[in-house]
Amino acid sequence: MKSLLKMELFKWRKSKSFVVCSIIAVGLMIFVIGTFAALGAVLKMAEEEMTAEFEAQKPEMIQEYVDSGMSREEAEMTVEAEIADAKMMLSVELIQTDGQNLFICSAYQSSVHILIAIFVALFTAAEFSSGTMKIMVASGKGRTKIYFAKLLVVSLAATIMMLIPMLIGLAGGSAIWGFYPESGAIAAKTVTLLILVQFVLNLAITSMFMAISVIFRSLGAAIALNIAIFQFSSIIFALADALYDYILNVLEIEETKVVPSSLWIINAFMNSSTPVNFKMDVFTRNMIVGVVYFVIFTLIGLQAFRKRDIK
Amino acid sequence: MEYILKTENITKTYSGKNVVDAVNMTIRKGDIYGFIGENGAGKTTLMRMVVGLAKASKGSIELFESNNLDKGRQRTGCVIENPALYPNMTAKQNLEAFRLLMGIEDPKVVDETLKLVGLSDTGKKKVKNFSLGMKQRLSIAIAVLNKPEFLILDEPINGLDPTGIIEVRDLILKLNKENNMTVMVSSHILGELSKVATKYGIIRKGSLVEEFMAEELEEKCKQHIEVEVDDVDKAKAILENNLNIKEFEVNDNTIAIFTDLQRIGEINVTLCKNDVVVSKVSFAGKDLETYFIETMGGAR
Repeated sequence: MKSLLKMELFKWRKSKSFVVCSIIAVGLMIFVIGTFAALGAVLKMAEEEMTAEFEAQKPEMIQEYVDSGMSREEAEMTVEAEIADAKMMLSVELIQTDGQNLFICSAYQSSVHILIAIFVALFTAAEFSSGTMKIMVASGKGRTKIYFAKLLVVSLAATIMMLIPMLIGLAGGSAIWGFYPESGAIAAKTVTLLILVQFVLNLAITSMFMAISVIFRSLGAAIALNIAIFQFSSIIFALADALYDYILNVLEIEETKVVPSSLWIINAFMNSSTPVNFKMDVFTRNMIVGVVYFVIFTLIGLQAFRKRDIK
Repeated sequence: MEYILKTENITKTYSGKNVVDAVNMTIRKGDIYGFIGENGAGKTTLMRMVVGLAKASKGSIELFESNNLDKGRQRTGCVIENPALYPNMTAKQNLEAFRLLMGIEDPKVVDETLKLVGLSDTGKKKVKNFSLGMKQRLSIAIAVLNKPEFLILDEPINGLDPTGIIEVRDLILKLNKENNMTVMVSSHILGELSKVATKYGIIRKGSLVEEFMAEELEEKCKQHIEVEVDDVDKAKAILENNLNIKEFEVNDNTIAIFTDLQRIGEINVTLCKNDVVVSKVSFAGKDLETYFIETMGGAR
């Protein structure tokens, strides 16, 4: 196992695809932060302009209401409420964030996970395309060990690729908006649990990508399927939710807290990326989802690798 | 150790068809086993089963007199079908990766092996830019990196130029002689195979039709002098009494002489001096290629 890990780590170090994917992840996160910051600046300017305009029009608006029969006090309150509503539509608070928030929310980003999908396919399926898997299997190290060594290294790589936007979000968000002025301090325990569940769900997603790559073995097919399943599986589970609701209605059963989509890793990951309304039962459920899918996909991939001939 | 590889009724079935059919094969320590067969005969499939790339449908394989095939495979090197290399790495990086896989501590073995196969000067050139011959050499380098006791080569001289073919041949002979490495090699270039192999196995439609030692092949395909004469009895007497040649066979008007091949001129002159009309005198004998074709039941 040690020699297998050394080889996999060597290949990872030499892997241009990891570097390229990581650079793209960095670029995307910087783009996200930059977009937030730019939007914030634009909204702030618009808000200031609008405030000045409303202040100028306020007496006229109040007079209109007074003329229509409202008391002055009521008219002033109505106009204030209308101005407040209008301000909310352009409020910079809509896109306000902070370092802590970006750190937690950036773990789940479909763009980064697409990059992870591509990297896992390149690192795994390409071994079959190039034929190097033949030498690894023929070395007598055992197919189970070969699979686990590769899974360990791609999991490490996927974790780092997930951490990159998180750390950039933390640094960039803190520099521009502060560490937690918007979201307020989230308890350290909550942050730890959220990061932990995201880590586990990321491993589960990675094990799914690896299983697909091992089953299909062709580089193109592996990349396409990894991305397709990641992107479109949530739609399928949304349909499952609708069907589930329908069945509950037909059977006149009360709605349940847990629906089919809440048991899918992608959805669980999305739900774990918002620190607001953190609930322990949701955390526990998401952890179980992560662990179970990790085990399932690992076993599926391992079985496919052990049983089939290597061409 | 008596044998390195032993298969017993090894069979591989794809879609109900036996592509390898109950093959019983033995390769002894120190053999260079020439594995011969037409395209699709089952050579590569059998080799793949031996190295663990394919699972046998039936039968058993023993490596180094043991059923523990993983342990046996750690003492085996192989090149199966196309060169298997990391295209975006250099030759040295490829060997380095496999050195780590094989658990070889000494990093110097990489440079030594590159030198052995004549690839020490490839520098930073990526494998994807190598010629087929270079890729083939690098594949062989990977196979011999850990100095295996058993080497399996599936058509190793494919894509090599004449110099490369000679180098691979010399390498196989050197490894066999100096390291007592047992080699199993398949090739379509039977002339080359006949220069290295000490034992042959011919496979046809999945079945091992014949196995024989190189000496037996020599016996079967024995080189001889063929002399066509008008008076066979007179010629026989001259050979025995005048030339002291006793080992010959007669077939109609043709005498096949199996010894004293270097005396072909003398034989011709002596027969003529003794009034035997010689209408034809030449060297004859089957080569491995001819023997293979005859065994396959085909015609050229």
